[in-house]
Amino acid sequence: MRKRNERRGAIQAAFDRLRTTAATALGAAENAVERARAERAEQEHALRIAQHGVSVVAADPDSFEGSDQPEFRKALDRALAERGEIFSEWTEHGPDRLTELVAEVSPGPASAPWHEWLGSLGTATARSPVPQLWRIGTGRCPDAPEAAGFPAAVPLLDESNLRITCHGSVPETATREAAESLVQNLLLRVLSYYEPGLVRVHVWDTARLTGTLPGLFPLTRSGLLTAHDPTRLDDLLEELAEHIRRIHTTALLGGHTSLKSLAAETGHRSEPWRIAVLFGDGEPLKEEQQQQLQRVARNGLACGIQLIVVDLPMTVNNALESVTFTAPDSARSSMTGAHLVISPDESPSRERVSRACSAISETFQARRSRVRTFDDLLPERFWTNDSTSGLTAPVGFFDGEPVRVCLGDTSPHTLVGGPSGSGKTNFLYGMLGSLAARYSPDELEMYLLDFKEGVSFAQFTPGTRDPSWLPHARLVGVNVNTDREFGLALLRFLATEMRRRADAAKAHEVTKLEELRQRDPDGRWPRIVAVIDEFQYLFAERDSVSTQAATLLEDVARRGRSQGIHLVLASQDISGIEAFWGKPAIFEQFILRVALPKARRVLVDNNTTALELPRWHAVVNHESGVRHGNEVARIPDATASETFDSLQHKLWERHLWETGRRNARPPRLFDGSHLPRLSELEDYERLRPGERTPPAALLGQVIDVRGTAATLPFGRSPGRNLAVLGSAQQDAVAVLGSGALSLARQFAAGEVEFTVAALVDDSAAHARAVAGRLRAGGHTVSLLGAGELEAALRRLTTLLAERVDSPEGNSTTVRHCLLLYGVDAAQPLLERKDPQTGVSGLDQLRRLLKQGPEVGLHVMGWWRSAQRLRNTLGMGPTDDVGAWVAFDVQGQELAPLAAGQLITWSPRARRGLFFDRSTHSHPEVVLPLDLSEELGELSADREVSESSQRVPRPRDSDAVASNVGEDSGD
Amino acid sequence: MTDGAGQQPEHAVERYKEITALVAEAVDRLNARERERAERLEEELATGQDRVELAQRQRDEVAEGVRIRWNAAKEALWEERWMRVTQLPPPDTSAEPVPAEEAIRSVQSAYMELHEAVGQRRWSGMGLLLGGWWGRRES
Repeated sequence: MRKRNERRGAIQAAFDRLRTTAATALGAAENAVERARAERAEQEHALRIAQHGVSVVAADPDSFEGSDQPEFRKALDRALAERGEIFSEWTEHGPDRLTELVAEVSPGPASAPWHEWLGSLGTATARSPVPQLWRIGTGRCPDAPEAAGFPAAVPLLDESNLRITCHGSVPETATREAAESLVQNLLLRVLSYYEPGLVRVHVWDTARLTGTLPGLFPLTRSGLLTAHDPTRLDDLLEELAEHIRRIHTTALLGGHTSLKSLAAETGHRSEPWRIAVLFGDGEPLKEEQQQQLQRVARNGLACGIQLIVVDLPMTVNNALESVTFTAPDSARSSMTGAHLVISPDESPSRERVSRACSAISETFQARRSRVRTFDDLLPERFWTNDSTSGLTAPVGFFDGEPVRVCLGDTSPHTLVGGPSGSGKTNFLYGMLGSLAARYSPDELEMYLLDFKEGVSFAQFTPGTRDPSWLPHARLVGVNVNTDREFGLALLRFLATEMRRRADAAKAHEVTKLEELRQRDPDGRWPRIVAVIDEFQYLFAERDSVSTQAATLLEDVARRGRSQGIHLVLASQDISGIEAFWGKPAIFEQFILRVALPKARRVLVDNNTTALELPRWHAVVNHESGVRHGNEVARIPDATASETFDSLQHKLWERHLWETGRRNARPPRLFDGSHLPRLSELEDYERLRPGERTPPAALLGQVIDVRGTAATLPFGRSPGRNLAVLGSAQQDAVAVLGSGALSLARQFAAGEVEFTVAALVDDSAAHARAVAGRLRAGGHTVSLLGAGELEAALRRLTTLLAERVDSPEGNSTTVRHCLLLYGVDAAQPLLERKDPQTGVSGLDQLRRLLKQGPEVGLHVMGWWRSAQRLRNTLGMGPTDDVGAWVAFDVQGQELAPLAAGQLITWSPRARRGLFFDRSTHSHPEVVLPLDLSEELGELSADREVSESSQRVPRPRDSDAVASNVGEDSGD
Repeated sequence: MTDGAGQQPEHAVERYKEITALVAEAVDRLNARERERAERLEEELATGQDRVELAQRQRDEVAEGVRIRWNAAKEALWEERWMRVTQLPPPDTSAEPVPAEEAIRSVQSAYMELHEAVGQRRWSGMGLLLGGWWGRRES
């Protein structure tokens, strides 16, 4: 029994074991197959994954065949792990470094989330560092999903233009909206970073005028944002190009290639940033527009002009970054490359945007409406501009923006019009001050002439209270009421200068001043601005002065433009200038027109803007007065104290410092109300014995630019006598006196003798003073009254006879000068014949006149009328008196004394007409000299001189003594 | 680079692009790696089918060997009416995959045991053959 049970047990056990091992073996074999298969499947998946790329597969695994298989999962995980390892450097460092970088270079609104700054006003000024990057959204790397996001940013101001593309992506409208949002957010950042006003935005949308960037609309109120007409892209591009041009010829000189480098050096930016946003439709622009756009893109950044273009094709040949939208919330950028995706930042609500923009707009508006002063016209640094290609300077403001005048090739000359009291002088001061502050005296010279009674330009010359002068002023004429010759002289001077420059240009084989300056950089070729206020007076009479002036004006107006000579003619009334009839083109060259309130005829007839202007305003028009060229400007007060005078003082001091006190020369001043002093005449000071051959008497001052003395040579030849005609005693004796004193200086003591006869009581004191002065100079003087005249004449005729008969010639005899004060007063006396000789004093005088000069005996006499001179000379020819100076005498009376020439002359206060038949072809107007300093103060003379030195009333003037304040409109 | 106080270092754009370039580099490396792997896998897969077939053949061998022995055992145990002989057990899927030889060996040894326990006279031809042949092999 036991054996049987044992056997059964063994059998069962063995059987069980067989069963287990069988199961195991089968299972194992099965698993082996399974494993082999699985391995292979995994390899196949891995191959497919490697072929498609793990990122592609991971993005949408379900779309792959067999993706439900676990082998697929395994292969995918393995590939993902490897990818994670490859991207580990990015994952660990990339986003952090970018976040750090952006935080470093993009402070405040440049990168912070909008709720931290939107609604607050920007505080950055031109001195603040410009953010190099501006945040647009969050970037992430789809290939490294475990990595963090990072700030996506683009460069903008001063760095690069921006191109955004969304055309062609789907859905198009939503993407376009996303692009607009991106632009809006970027603009908000920039506008909120800087103080209001430092950034200006221009928007152009090919599809519409309004409705683009609607949240920014409040900015249009203050002009911070301008929406441009879709059909007027050319205007916008031209405006930008013009800014670039202007900035290059003003701010960007002296080696700076960009406003950025200029600001780095000076800490100052004279221009706002201008961002132009252009929305296209994917189509390229017209050829010329495209080229203009490319030019702006290339050259604008240096001038602070920035482009953001949306869906406008652009060639990338300049600094340009791009953002390309693939979907409304997804974009790629040249900053981040093809493998990083950017989700643009969310926009704040439209309401918040509008509110923020309103705040910016209102602040700017408030700041801008603050009244601009003269100081606002001035640059931060003086004399930094170059006048090679022209002159530009602001003269006023419109809505806070400077309004400029430009003088150059395209607008060479200016006409300024406005009735008295309208602010003409104030405008001129502002303009001249603005120019003088920007251009050094080597770049700009000024010649200023005022035909009014006023002393407008006297400010520019040294005075008793203020020793400063305007360094640019080379000539200033004030109180030039009746001395129209001075205007003529100025025009002549300009014409001569024009010719001189043209000759120099030719020598360098060029034609224009601009070119000359380039060929001759070491030469001094400043631009000349010649201002004539109330210039219509120059043409007031129908005479040769007007004719000549008109011809010269036309010449200078036409040819001056290429030689850098610019006329500024100001007038109350330019209509009815007869001299211009027949010369309609004379104002053709006056392309710049400035009209003060109520000015007529300066602008084209149907351009009536000036008539409605309020005070302190002007219309500045660079288009010959045609309406569309109007720019209305508010003109600051440039005549109040501490405005122009302060500027002048600073410029003067700098000029002295740069040229040396001794070398700096003040401008020549011509003051029509004062007579020049003999003692201050350069020509007089220079006189020495032997200085001139033959010696010459200085009789007065010619009306010219230099201030030349009117000279009369006293050679030993017939006719070298002088007659002074007219009853204007003070002027007449001044001529005699200056003639005698100037002659005396050209002889050593003993080489000349004087006989001075005071025949008119009133002149006795003067004659005495002259005699005294001559004696003080060491010369022999006989001073006589009427009673001793005959005897003196006898003596002199004896001397004459001796010399005539003398065999040794006449060249070495002592000169003798007979000064007769009021010859005609002694006429009855002279007519008396000596009972013994039968010779009268008159005969002797006539003989002296005829034969004296040849032997060194000269007569300088004063007759109180032309007829009385004729009486003295008798019936014979008049050429024994070869020269005369006539005062209050009529022109016709002088004709016989001037070889029958037609002479138009009427009495003019303090002016004489000088004619020397041996040198003049026609007479010239001269100013008698003021001898008070040479002769010392004589009480009688002083009273007389003071009473007649007062400003004479010019013809046709009803203005009372003028005052600069009147012109500023106060 | 400037180092004035308050001045920003320059070239932020370049520095930014340098950092983002890490991604492009990584992408390139990834692409290269994947290209390599694809090439390698292609090669391997071309030769790899054999392994599956081999495993299948071995499995069939094992199944055959197990079946034969099982049937022989069933026959031998036919007389032992006290025994309940079940069907061939299902494969034990938890089994470690081992080479076919090893699997068959353990089955054979269990079979020998049974053979032993049952005794020679019960075994039929195939069973004798199996026992003898295997036995001879083993000794």
